[in-house]
Amino acid sequence: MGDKSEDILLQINHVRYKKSDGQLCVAHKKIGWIIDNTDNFALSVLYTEIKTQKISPEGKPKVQLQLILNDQNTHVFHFTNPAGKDKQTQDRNNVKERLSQLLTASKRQPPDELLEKKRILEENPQLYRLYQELVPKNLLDPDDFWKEIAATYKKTLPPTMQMGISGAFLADIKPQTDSTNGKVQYNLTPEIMLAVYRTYPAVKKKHDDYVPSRMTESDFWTRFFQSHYYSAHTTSRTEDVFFECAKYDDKEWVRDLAKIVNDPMLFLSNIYEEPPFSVAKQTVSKAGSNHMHATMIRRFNQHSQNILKAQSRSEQDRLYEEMIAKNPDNLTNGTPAPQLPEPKSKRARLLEKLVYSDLESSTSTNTSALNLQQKDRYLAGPPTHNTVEPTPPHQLEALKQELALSLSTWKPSFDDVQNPVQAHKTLQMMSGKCREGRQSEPDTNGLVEELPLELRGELSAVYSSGGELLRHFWSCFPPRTPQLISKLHTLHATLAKYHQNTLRPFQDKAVRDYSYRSGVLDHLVHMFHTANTKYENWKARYGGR
Amino acid sequence: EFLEGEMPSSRPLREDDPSLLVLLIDTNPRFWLKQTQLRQRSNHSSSDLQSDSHSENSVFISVMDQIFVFLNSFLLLNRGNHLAVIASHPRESRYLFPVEREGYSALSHKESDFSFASMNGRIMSELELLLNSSVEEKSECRNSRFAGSLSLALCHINRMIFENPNIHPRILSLCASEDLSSEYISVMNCIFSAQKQNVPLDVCVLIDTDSLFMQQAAHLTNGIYWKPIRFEHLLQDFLTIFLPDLYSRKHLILPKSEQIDFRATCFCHRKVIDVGFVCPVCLSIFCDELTKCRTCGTRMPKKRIRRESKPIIKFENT
Repeated sequence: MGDKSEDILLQINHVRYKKSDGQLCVAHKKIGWIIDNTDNFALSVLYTEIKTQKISPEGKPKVQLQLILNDQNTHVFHFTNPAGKDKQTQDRNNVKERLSQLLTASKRQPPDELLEKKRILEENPQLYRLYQELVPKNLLDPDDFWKEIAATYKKTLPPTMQMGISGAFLADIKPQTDSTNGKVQYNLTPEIMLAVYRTYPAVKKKHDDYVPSRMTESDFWTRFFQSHYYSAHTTSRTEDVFFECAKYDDKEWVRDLAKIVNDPMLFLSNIYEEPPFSVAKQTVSKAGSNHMHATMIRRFNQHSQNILKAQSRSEQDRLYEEMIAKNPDNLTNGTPAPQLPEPKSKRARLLEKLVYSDLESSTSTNTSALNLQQKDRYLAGPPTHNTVEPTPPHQLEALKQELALSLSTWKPSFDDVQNPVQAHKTLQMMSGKCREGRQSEPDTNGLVEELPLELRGELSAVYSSGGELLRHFWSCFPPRTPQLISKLHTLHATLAKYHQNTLRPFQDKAVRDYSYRSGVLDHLVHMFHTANTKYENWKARYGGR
Repeated sequence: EFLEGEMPSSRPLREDDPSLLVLLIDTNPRFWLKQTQLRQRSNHSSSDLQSDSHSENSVFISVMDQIFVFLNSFLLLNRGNHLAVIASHPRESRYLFPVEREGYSALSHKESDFSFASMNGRIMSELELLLNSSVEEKSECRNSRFAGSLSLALCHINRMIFENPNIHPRILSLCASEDLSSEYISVMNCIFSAQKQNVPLDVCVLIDTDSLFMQQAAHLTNGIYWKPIRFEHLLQDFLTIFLPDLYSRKHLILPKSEQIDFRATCFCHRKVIDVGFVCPVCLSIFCDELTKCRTCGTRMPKKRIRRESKPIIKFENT
């Protein structure tokens, strides 16, 4: 059996049908019955064909389950478990439950689907025409049609939304009192009943159980209004219908509370406000002080919570909760639990709120990590040498004592602080040093700054022209082609002329007119000399080629 | 006057602007005690007492006397001048002036009861407290920690600039210990922040060898680096070189620092190199070529290195 829809969810032995013993098998999409000692299904009914199921009342000796099909046929299964009537009842109830779930699951799909398809066809005349062309003429199977052609249309349909429940629906049931005999009359409409079912799935379960087999509708609802759902004072009859519901509600409440309290994004201890400048801590009246009030408030809260949940519940959740309502303690195996959203970590939720995925940069650069060993080698500076020899400790101590004594007996007396002869010597030496610092490098800017402003312009002109000539000269080396050689010769001649005509007069002028030292153009002259030497050497080696 | 949003210390210098001088005194006990020992030996060996008319045996105290004269002169130059004195010690750095203690408030020279005698006395008593502290000295700490005192000085300057926006700060450091290579990064950071704040760092070095950190400090912050020949006669040097304020310095010729050694050290041997090899990934410096960088593990195939005949980075000795 590979197909999932054929998996047997529930198998009950000792079930009689039409006077033969056999097994009842409940599968995903159908229910089947096998006669004992055979392998194939004698009876197999799809859920889509089943209209309702019925069970025999409590008091009857036989424990039976009846299936009513759409075409008014009936199948009756008789549970004959040799272990006793209780076991039979249990078997039957199991089957009934499972069946009811599966029935509702399967029933919900077709109407929606058909309606949906109909709507699509109505909205899109082209599609409708296509449909008309292909399907009735047996050119294309309807399934194929819907799968391939209409697949795109189906996706664009907005999800159908259910109408929510009014928060005050219970309060809006205004009872009418007959003042004569103290009876209270409630007017109940199907909408109210639906609202109750959606808000309290437990009540729905109870309704399915008890009505119409055990009690009438009116009786059920009377009991409902007398129960804790509607009145503040519950009648403490333990065997009441809704007592189980009360237990279920309590459990549900605890679960909800845990969910809220454990939410890392809510900070609940901050809800009580303290007015500023309040000196004494005011005793905050907590809600749980009066027990009556507490239960009342809790019921109200739970009611509101349930209304909210009714709106946002999904199909699976509904089934799940119905099942829990019926049997809060054990879940039958095989039901898939609804996927609860895992409690996201606080960090993930914060990130959700902070980050917009479309604002993040789409490029991701591949960076490789840089592993550095011995990082302290970056941090250590140049090595230092300790030239101070360590003094032996006892001498150190003695000296320390002396110093301490001197410090304590220190009196300011500044008469002899400076020896004038020594001071004079120091001053002389320092002046000498300063003067040296001035003159030590002849070709630094310090020299140029002492030139008068008029000469500075001329100096820069001389430098730039001389430098240009030199550049041309040096670019000729090594002279490989005849043109370069001839260029070299001419440049050399030019340099010599330049030296004679421009540099010398400039230097002479500086010395003569401005009584300047003759070192102002030393650097340039030095460069010329170097060029000259290079030329001479080259000429000597390769001479006149 | 002072415009909003303008850094106070980047204002142009004007005549008669008040200055803030922060003096960092290096109280390295080993150095000073050693000097006292040397002086005692020389006193005993030579009977020439003319060179030392001062009968004080302790070198430290004689130097402190000279410093007091210098400080008093500084305060006399301009009514608005401010002063702070910080002592650096191998163990700690702390303020010597102005300091609040129980019994008397911080002495400010603007108060009416200020006198040079009381200021000098205060500084001396603080020094006494520092040097007589009974905490055991660790034998490894032979040198004073300069980075801490420099940071203290810079913080003090920062605060004073807020209180007196017109002031021009500078730092004078009396250095009596050698460089601590473990302090290199901290000292460089302090120097850069002083540079940013336009605070010149003047250094007077009393030890025999040149201090590389101090040279760089003075060079980067436009300060003066001075190494006196004989430091028993410091006062004249101080009065000539370090007393004039920043405005007057532009008109004086003050000793220039000699060539500073900016060379790097190789990572493998810690020796100073002129020409070296640098890993292009982690920028660590080696003195000889390697096939694999020792810090980051990058492979440098020999063929690629051989192809380029020159080394990758050349450090020139300027």
